[in-house]
Amino acid sequence: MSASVTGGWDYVAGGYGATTVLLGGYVASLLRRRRVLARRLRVSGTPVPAAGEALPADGAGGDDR
Amino acid sequence: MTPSSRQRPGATSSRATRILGALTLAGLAVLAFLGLYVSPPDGLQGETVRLIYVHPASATMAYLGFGVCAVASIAFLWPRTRSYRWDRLAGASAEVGVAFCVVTIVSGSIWGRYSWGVWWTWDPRLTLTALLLAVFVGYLALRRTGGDPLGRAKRSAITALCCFVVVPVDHEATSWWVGLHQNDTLFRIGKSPLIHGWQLATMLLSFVVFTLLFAWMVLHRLAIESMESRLEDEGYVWAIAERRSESGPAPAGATASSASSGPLVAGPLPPVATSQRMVQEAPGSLLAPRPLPRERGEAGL
Repeated sequence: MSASVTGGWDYVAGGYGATTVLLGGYVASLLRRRRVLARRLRVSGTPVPAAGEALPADGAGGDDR
Repeated sequence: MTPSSRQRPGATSSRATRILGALTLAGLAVLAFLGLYVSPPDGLQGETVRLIYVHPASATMAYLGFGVCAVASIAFLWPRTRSYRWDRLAGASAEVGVAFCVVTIVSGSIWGRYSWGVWWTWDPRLTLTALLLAVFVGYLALRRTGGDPLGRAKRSAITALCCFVVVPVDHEATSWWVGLHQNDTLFRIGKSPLIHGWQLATMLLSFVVFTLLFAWMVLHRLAIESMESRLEDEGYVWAIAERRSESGPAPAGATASSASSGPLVAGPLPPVATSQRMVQEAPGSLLAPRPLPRERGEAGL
């Protein structure tokens, strides 16, 4: 494969494409996992925390503090 | 405004994360436009210089993820600030950091194929980045081990601090050793940046946009950690209720829905303070052969 100084668009496309696929795939997996877990929590009647919402009574506590 | 009003019914996102997500998407679109169209090619590297708007920002986000993981681990280990929130933040940021580290290695490999003629070489920076990825993948695997939750969290926090040692060594690798990888482009002590104009502006924008993306990812990964934790507690409640039903008739109201709607154990179930206590109680009581309650004339536990 030849690579001239002014060329290299194929490498740029590869780099941007790989980044989009990897990060996009990870974001898609995050959203899917979140949706599945939220469904399981709703089925059991447990409140579903929103992204960025802290849990109450969350400390490790006890003698181990 | 209450949390419930900020959260749409049936949604797991909040208004803040939706705004953050919209900003991130808009920023990525602007970054792609500047990086692929407005920014000029380089005299030496040609069009492949456009990879500089992806590769260094990804590496910085990987460092940021591992750094947040280390700080959160310290906060968990410190007795005054100990909370499982820190443990969950450490896990979430480490996983996002690993994702960005993979992007760093892949985009760097493509760039290296053009610049050096090889997909991979055992350059100090490349080798240490691969090592960084390996140790934090190991850290994530350690977090998945079972057992006492507090002990697992402590082990994970100590491991995270050991893993983080690789980060400054990796960052300084191009200064400490001679290799193929170029040195810093922007932050050079006593020297001006190697790029200017639109290239500099686009590169700076890439750091801002990738930071927004990082924050969005960590917030959603954190929500997943919280939901997994709630489900784990739910599992403990079910296990206790099941154990009690083996010994005798379950007390009225000892259902999963009543137990899960409030604190860990609610209503007629006797209080069980922590999941750690459950773990300690479980092995002996479950494995040891016990007579049925009717034979012993007992009711319940």
